[in-house]
Amino acid sequence: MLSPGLLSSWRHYQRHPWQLLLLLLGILIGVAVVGAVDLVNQSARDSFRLANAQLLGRTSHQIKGQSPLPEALYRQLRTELALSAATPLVSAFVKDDLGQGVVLRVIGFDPLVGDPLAAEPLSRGLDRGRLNPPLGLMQLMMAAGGVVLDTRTARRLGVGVGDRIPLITATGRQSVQVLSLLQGDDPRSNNLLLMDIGQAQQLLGLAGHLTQINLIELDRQQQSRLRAWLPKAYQLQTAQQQRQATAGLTDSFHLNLSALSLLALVVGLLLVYNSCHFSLIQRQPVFAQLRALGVTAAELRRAILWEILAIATIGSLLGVLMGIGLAQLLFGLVVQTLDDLYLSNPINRLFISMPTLLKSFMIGIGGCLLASWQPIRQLSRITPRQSQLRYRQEIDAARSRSYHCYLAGGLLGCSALLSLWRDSGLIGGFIAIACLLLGIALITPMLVAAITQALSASVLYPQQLRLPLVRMALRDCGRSLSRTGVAVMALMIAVAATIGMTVMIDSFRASLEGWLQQRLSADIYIRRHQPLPGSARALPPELIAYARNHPAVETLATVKRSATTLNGRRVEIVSSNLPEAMQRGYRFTAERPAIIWKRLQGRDQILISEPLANHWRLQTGDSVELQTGSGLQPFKIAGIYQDYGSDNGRILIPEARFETYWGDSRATGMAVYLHRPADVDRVIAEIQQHVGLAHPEQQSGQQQPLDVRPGARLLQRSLAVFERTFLITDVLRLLALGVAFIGILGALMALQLERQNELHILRSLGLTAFERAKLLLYQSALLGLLAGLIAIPTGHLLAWLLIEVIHLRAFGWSMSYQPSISAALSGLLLSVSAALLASLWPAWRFGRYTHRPRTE
Amino acid sequence: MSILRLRHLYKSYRNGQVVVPILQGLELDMREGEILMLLGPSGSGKSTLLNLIAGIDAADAGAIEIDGTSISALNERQRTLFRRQHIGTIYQFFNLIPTLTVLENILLPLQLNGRMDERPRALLQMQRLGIEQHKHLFPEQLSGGEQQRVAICRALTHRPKLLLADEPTGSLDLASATVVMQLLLEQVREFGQSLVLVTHNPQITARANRLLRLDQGLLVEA
Amino acid sequence: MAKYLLLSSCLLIGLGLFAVGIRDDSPGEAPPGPAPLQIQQLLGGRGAIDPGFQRADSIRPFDFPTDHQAHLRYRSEWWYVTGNVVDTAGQPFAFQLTIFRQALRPSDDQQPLNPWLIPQLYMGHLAVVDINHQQHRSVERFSRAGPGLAGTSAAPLRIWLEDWQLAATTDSSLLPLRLTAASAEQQIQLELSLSATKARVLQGEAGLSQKSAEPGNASYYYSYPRLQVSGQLRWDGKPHQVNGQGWYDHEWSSSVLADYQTGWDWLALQLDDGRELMLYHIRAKPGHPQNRQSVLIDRDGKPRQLSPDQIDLTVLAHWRSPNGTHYPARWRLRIPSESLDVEIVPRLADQEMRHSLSYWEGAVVISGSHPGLGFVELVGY
Repeated sequence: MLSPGLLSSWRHYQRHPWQLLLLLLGILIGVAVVGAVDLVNQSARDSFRLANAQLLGRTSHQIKGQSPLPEALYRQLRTELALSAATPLVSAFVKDDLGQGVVLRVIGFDPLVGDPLAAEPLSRGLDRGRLNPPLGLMQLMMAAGGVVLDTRTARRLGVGVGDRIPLITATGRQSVQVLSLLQGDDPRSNNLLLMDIGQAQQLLGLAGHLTQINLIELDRQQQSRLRAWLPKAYQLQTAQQQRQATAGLTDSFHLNLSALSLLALVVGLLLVYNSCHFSLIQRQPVFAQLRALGVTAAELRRAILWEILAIATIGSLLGVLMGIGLAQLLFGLVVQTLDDLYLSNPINRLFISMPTLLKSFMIGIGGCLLASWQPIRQLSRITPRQSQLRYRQEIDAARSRSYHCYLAGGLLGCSALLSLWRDSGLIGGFIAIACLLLGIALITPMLVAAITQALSASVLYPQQLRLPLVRMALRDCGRSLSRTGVAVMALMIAVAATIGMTVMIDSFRASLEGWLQQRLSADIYIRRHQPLPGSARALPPELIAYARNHPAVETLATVKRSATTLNGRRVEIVSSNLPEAMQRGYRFTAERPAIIWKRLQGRDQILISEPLANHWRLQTGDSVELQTGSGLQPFKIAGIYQDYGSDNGRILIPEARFETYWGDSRATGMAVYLHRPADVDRVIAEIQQHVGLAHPEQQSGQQQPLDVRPGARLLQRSLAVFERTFLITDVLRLLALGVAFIGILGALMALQLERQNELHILRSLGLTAFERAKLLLYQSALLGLLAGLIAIPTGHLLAWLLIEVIHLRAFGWSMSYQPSISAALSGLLLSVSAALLASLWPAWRFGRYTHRPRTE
Repeated sequence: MSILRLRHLYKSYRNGQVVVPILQGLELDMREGEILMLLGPSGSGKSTLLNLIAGIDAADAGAIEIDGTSISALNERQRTLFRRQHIGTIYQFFNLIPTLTVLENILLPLQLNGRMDERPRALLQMQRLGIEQHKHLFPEQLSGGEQQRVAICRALTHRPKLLLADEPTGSLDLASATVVMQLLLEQVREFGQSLVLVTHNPQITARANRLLRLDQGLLVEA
Repeated sequence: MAKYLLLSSCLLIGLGLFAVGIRDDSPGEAPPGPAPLQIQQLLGGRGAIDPGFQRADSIRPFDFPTDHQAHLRYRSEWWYVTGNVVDTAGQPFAFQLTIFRQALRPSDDQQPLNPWLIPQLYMGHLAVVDINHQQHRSVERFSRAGPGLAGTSAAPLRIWLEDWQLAATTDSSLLPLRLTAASAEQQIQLELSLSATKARVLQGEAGLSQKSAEPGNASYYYSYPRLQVSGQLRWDGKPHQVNGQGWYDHEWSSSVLADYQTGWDWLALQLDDGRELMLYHIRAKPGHPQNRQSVLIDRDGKPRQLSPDQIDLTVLAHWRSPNGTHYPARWRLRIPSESLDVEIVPRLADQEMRHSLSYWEGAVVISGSHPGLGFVELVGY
């Protein structure tokens, strides 16, 4: 037998199933969004960690160099230094040529010495169960292009044992043959092609070279001995250092996701609070009656707690399930973005981690309990007479408003402080954002009340208009805030986030576009088609000479891109002959360009990009040590240039200087500047024709074909990638808005339920169905309008924080903040339409109302 | 001149499988300015009858004619607009819009009819009913008797030709009930309005022009 | 001697049949041990040998120093050094170093473009025994030939497996030789000089050593039966200057055991009178011919074959290894024609090599009419 409290809850929801539905939906969506983003974030991180684990295993140290290591180094380690802990590895990314474009990682290892995933010689393992069919060493070692891959990857590629997989590698088109399939579900083997080291060298054109040498459990003495022995061109890194060096690559991406996860969390929790709050406040008369009948406060509290717990459990469970589905959707977008930006995401599967699911589940339960704590406390204190008074609730709400005011002031102050205090870092920036949103959200009900009051005052007295409905709607807005306040907050936050993101992205786009236009000022760009990152090969010198001597060509800039490390962080290094036309494409953060370019002529001078300068807090004139072909070398910073091309940072260095320190500076690309007027298409056609005649091998498909593009096209493509990057943020913003939408729907439905008596009066006073519906629509539109209006300055503040605090602290990018009227207007429109849309159904019910309260 | 004419009025409710007849061919003629009081036990159909007259509910059969207009021939919207102009209602509870002040509640029917400059009249009426000092309060800040006075004030200020009152003092103590009812009857007389009043108060029934009882779905002289 | 069989077996298990597997690196999980394969299964003659391999089917002239190097046209090969030594304080030790080579398929003379793809695999076994403290330590390693990771080279001669190596000190001959081998894990290290005190002995019939009746089931086999050993031995990092006597074998072939043969016992005894006795017995299932060979090398280095009926070898005791294998652990050897009657006792009971394949290989002491020291190898128990 249910307790009277629970029984009355059950009956309540039986009579108002939509209310239970909305309550569940609110919890469900909140939990789902939080869980999904968390899962995606976690998966992206796990993927990254696992991708590292593919290469590192249980390695404690590794030896790497600027370019692939000569394998003689490994021989010496084993035969002279007797380092049996050393294992050789060859690895590279390839793409399948089956039309799916899956990024795969080839790992060539010596199965006699170490298995890249387990870091122990396989010969000891004899673990035959994992391979189907079992595979002898001889087959793996001797079968040309023989690979082992896991069943999941094979299924994805649609291949089986014995099939050949055509691949696009850095050296051109190749194919490998599946020898055996790895059983089991080790996520590390995802998208991995395991090969014998010799076969991998052949496939990747790395004969005589190793990508890295892993060292397992190197003791102190071995470390120092190795360090002393190791030629300067190579570094002994700890696995930790290695992880850090590549971590920067996707940091920026996680950051975006984290920001959105935060948003989802705030909105989700608000909604959970909202839903709980409603269902309790609405039943206050029932609770009052129960109290009057002799149910003790403690009994009532317990009953309500059980009810909340039951609903929270169901809602959170469903939310977790939906979160998994949602995560799948989001993860697709994340993978797409990572592929676009970094081409380095070999593991693309969603890891459904129990702790993460549990976390979002607990957030749901905890949020519900937290949200219901205050109403429950109030309920059990209230006397039966008080609880029947609707206006008392409004008085209570008004009283808590002043408390909210202080809280909001504190939050906003905190936000301002953190955004100005640079050392608070990225975390500080995020807290500043959270404080800003919450602070403004807290005072939103007050603002709404103040505005409606002001409006009703001004609207009341010029009495010519047909006002009663408008006035009632206005009054309703102001007076029903104990019901609608939280929904308005949620809507405001969602709309502010939309405006903020739009303004930020617009500002970003404008800065990027300006930058690209200036930087991509050449008429034609030529490089080898680069199917994989870091795989660029030198252009044929004859082609460079041809272009240089072409009558239409004014100037030719040759460029080589490669990588080095600065303080252990991987950075891109660009060497170029830097003709004047190219110099014009650079904008500096300070000083006149002419001075900087002149300074660059000096000994060991380099230019660094702004993100790099910001990351290490470097300034012009500072000295930095770069890893060169002959060990660490000091360089001086001649200037800092703006750059959005790489969040990890770039270094620009004159060709001759690059050659001195790194050797081979053969250009991998060139930019062609034509005489004016220029017929770009004709010159491109001529270059392509020349390539076809002089370098037939370039087009044969064995080699990487040449990519000849007009500058304008490159610009378009860059912007397209930019747009795709923000696709996922669109989805999440939409979700936050959806959550707010449901909040409003729930709030209006609850209001409608409460106003049945009022409706009856309105009916007897002669309000038509349409007028009654209009009353609710007005009210809703007004709420949407006010939320939207408050969201406009909030959104702009948010954008400012994103641009001036988050992006600067995270990526070192500076961009000009551009307030946007169109973003403000569309945000307003969004807010009003969301609110109106949410009120359609309640309004329809409001109009159709036929219930007659018995008055006898 | 007849203000209200009911002919062969039938109304029944369906309660699950059971059809409960409420009104069974009811007939009534009411003169303008008449005060008609209605008696009858709970569930005899008094409130139903008032709802039918107000056009809030529709009859199963029969004709309702108010001040020469056959409202049974009107659709829901037309009935609503007719009610807005010509009928005032007072119930036992919940007469007032909680989000409007006392004055705004009183002005609402006038404004719905497009009469915007009736503030002085409303204030005067409030003065008469002794509720002028409450004009900026909200209904929930008033006692039950005060609330009913506001409701009566609204019905009177609006001055509809026909007033329908369903036990307007039923929830009040005897003393307040008597005062409120006195006021209502005085004003109705003064403005020449017609009133259908459901009541059980014997002190009141004495002041009726006509006293009817609802019995077996028909009106009989009490 | 019959090491070649051991080689085949080890490589069959360790390499030939092994499968690439990726195991969890979860710490709690013990790595799966070698499958409990039966030696007979492995060493059976079933499974045809690639006809591309050359076979030891006839007497051939040896060509030194070239023949000290690897013979890549044969499937299997090994270089084997054992010794019994004493440090300056009189503390006795014994050691073993064996480098095996196994071809995955016949090599053509042409070198593959990529050294990793040379189809030659090497396995090494190193063991050191501290007799006073009754401790036996051993270690196994594998490597492919790869880019100079393992192999043999001439001028000066060198046989190496990573940092383990046998390196001639002169260009023209194998001996004198430096042996270098160590294991950080087992805390043992050998840095020894080996020089010949006796001439090279071609085993079997002018170096062709028949393993079973089937033609081609034989190996090319020669030994240095008595080497002067001196140098440094480290045990737990502590250096010991040692001196003593050692034995060197080099054998290559392409054959395996016949399917009725189950294993072998091999004894290399260095008698104090300056003579050496080597005998082996390839055990066969009942009803099949037992293959017993023995050779006595006199003080001048002249080998003399003894017929099986001249020899009486009796097992006096057994030892049970931790794996449960019963090995013979004491013998009485009588050769009446030589008035030899000795008892052979392991210097330490547990000298079992528990690696990819378990076998017993250890130092023994000889007492009786002709005392001395030696090494014994027991496989297939």
